Amino acid sequence: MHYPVWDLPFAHGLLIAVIAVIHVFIAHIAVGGGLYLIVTETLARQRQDPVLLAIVQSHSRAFLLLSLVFGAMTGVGIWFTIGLINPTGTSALIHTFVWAWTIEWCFFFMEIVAALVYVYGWDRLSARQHQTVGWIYFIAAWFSLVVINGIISFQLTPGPWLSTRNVFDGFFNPTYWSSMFIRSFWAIGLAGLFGLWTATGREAGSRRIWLQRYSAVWSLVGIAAASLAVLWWWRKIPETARELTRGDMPIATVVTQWTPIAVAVLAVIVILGPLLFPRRSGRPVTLLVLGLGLFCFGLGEWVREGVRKPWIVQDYLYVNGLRADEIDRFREGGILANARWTRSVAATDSLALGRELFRVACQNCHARSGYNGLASRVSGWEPQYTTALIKRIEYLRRPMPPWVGTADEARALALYLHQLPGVPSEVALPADGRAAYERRCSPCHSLGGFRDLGEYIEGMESEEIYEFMEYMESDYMPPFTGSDRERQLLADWLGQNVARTKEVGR
Amino acid sequence: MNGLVPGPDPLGIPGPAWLFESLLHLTFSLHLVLMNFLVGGAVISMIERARAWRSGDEAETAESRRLARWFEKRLPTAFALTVTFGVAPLLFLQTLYGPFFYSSSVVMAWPWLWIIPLLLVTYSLTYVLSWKGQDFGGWQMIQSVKVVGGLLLIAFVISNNMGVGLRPEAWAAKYFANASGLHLNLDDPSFWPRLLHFMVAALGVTGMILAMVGSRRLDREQPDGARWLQLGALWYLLPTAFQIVTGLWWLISLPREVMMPLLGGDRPATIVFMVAMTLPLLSMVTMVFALRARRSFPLVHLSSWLLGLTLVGMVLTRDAVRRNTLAAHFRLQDLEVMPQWSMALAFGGLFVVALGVVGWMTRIYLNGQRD
Ligand code: HEC
Ligand code: HEC
Ligand code: HEM
Repeated sequence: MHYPVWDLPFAHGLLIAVIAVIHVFIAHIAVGGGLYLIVTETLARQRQDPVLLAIVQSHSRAFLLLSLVFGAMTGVGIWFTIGLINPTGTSALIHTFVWAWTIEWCFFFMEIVAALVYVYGWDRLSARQHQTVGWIYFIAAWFSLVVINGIISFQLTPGPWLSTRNVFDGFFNPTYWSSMFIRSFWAIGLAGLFGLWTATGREAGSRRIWLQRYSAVWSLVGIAAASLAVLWWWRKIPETARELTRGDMPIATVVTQWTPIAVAVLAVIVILGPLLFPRRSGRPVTLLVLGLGLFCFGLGEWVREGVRKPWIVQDYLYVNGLRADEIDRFREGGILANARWTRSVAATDSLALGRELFRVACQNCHARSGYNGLASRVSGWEPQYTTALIKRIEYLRRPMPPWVGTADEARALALYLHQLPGVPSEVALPADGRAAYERRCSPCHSLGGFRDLGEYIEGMESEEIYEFMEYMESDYMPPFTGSDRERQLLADWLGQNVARTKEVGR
Repeated sequence: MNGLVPGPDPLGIPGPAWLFESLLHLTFSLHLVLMNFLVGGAVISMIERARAWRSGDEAETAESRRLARWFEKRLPTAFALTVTFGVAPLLFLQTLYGPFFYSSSVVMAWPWLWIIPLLLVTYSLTYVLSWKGQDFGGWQMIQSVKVVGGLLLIAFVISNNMGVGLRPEAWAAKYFANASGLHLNLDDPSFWPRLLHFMVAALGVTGMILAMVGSRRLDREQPDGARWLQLGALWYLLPTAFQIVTGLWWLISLPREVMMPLLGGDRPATIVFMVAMTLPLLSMVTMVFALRARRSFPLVHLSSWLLGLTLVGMVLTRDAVRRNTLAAHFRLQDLEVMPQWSMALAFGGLFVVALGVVGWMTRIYLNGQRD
């Protein structure tokens, strides 16, 4: 609403997801791997095991490439990407936490230099010096996670900061500690998975079996502890966010159900592979568990990002760059009068108006078509109905910022969406009552769950429901804009089936 | 007034503007020195590599090889540090000039995002060259050229973004013609002189560093001292003399209302600019004398300090250009200050600790016996 919106042919979320998941995955390996390296080096030296020590040395080189080249560069990548996708949000975070970031930078600086000295210093430093540098690396890396965690968890639960604007309130927010434990343990788990990479490689030689078991223990301990921390976190997030994963937001619900399953599968493979049968286990299994680790990580991060929607900072700033305290101002004059970076177009040119509106109000989350595309969503609706829904968009089951435009703007936007390629201009009669329900009521109601329609129409006959639809229009409900046939179909189905569903439910 | 420029962030800045400005200039100066060594080192080692590849003369080839390898082994570390010291000014730039930086980034989103793969590939290549560059065949030559090309492309894109950020009046035409982020700043008359000025500076600064290393080696009677001193001085003097041309070109390409303050309109900015133009002349003369002196190191050292001050002066001048260019849209005084002193103090303390720790690690590394 304040900054230009990048007009991409796909949903912005995809870009962030790819870069962020890769970076965050590697960044956690970089933290946990630091501990893995220094503990294993110490172990090798205590046991006076030169073979193991040589393995650690070769592991550290791969680790350097991974954490400095891929970790640090994709980290810069996230910076660039969030600045492009969400300038207002990035700006809010920077202006609240720039000092936290400078502190993070100090740790990052130490981390980078320590990594270089550690890897290049195997033959140059005394054993003690080398181990000290290893510890410096791990501590600095872990502290950079500690700092960044404050900023990320702030987005979901800014807590008292909302009223105090005190940086410490925002930083040590309600989910700070639980997130920190999740991330720290998960880092250890991933370090174990990455350790398996070396353990199953040529360099592992005679220590292949031992090293696999050893790394498997690391990953299992990390995964188990992180899972416990997730349960704690779960109790700390806002109730509304939890609701999203219980049916309010279908995709978040599915992903949330899948995450524990994927983690369990990962743990089972680690147990059955490297832990119990290391002789049978090799690079393919390692690749599989690393891939699964990345997958679980992606799911977890998806849930965290997903349940925050429609906010970029909960209760302060929406994903489309609208601040909560700006809603009234926007509503008064409409979007185009208040948003910057909109082309001035003639008020009569609805299509051009709609294009501008789509970009500033929706494109932060939606594409025109494809993943999260709107073309397929409005197919099967008539423009009148789409207009009515847009005006009430915050009441949809999906997490969307409130509509702050005028009635004319809603109409222009709907018109624009309906002329997108692939949207049929004629709307056919739904095949049956259920399909009519999907079209007319399910965007906001569910059967048996969130805003349970059965409950609202309790005891109503088809006749009454039919009558009700005549007058259903309200601040939160659209008028019934379908044909009479459709209305009859829907009323019949609701009267006969939804009540029954409810009885079964009791 | 330009309707597009977003207002300053209502959350204000968590410390006085001068503090963030100072940190911006400090970290950006360090970024430039490191970047200069990276770019200059890549170019010089590429040229030496080409000479070793082509030349038939045994002794000459060996000399070129040693010099190329000296740079190549240091490029990955220089890369990591350039990035580290690039992140810091990026932070302060967003704190102070966010509305301009974010807007221009979106206007040229695709090239801007392309920096990331470019960084990944170029950085990896510096490792490849460092670890596998003992041989001087065609394959290594190609890697070396790729590194130089990657670095120049990165600098090209960054300079475009910094340029678009200073031209709010050009945003509408670009963005509304096409909002998919495919623009550059090539229509800005100051674009090419600006980029050229930065890239030629990189050669000069690297020449200076090479001359320093050479004269130190000469002092300690290590091999290659004399040659590196001479070569470094040459790499320093020629590009730096040429900078007078590129600098003047940049100056006259600026709009009048930005150029005039530097030429008397704004007293402090003029003084800084004039000093920053005089110092390199002194530095170059000093370098010439150093080449003739019996013991060169003290004079080379002095010359490098003069160059260092020049660099800081030029960073301040570039900042004055930015302030004057944006004056119609935004002044730093407009930012609301909501200080977080305890956080600032924590940063200050930790910064000192970090310097100490990094210093210690560097020392034990350098003191350790070579492999
Ligand atoms: C905060 C991000 C966000 C913004 C901004 C946003 N949406 Fe959505 N929208 C979503 C999500 C998430 C979904 C659900 C996607 C899914 O379930 O696959 C959704 C779903 C939809 C649906 C389908 C609803 C259904 O029940 O099938 C429509 C229509 C829609 N959005 C229209 C819009 C319009 C029009 C705008 C701009 C005024 C907009 N959205 C802005 C996040 C957003
Ligand atoms: C744009 C979202 C939306 C759509 C579409 C929608 N509803 Fe609602 N409906 C709501 C909301 C919000 C409430 C109020 C919930 C509350 O206050 O608890 C509601 C309440 C109701 C009520 C309770 C009476 C009232 O007026 O508050 C009935 C009955 C109802 N809806 C029926 C329907 C039927 C039937 C359909 C489909 C033809 C439908 N709704 C479509 C959002 C919607
Ligand atoms: C590694 C290759 C890099 C090279 C060759 C390089 C080169 C340059 C050049 C030439 C400029 C001046 C641009 C101009 O003003 O026209 C510049 C400025 C800048 N660079 Fe870099 N850079 C590199 C990496 C980075 C990275 C990775 C970052 C950030 C993460 C970064 C951050 C910055 C910032 C913030 C400025 C502008 C500071 C200001 O305007 O005050 N650089 N860089």
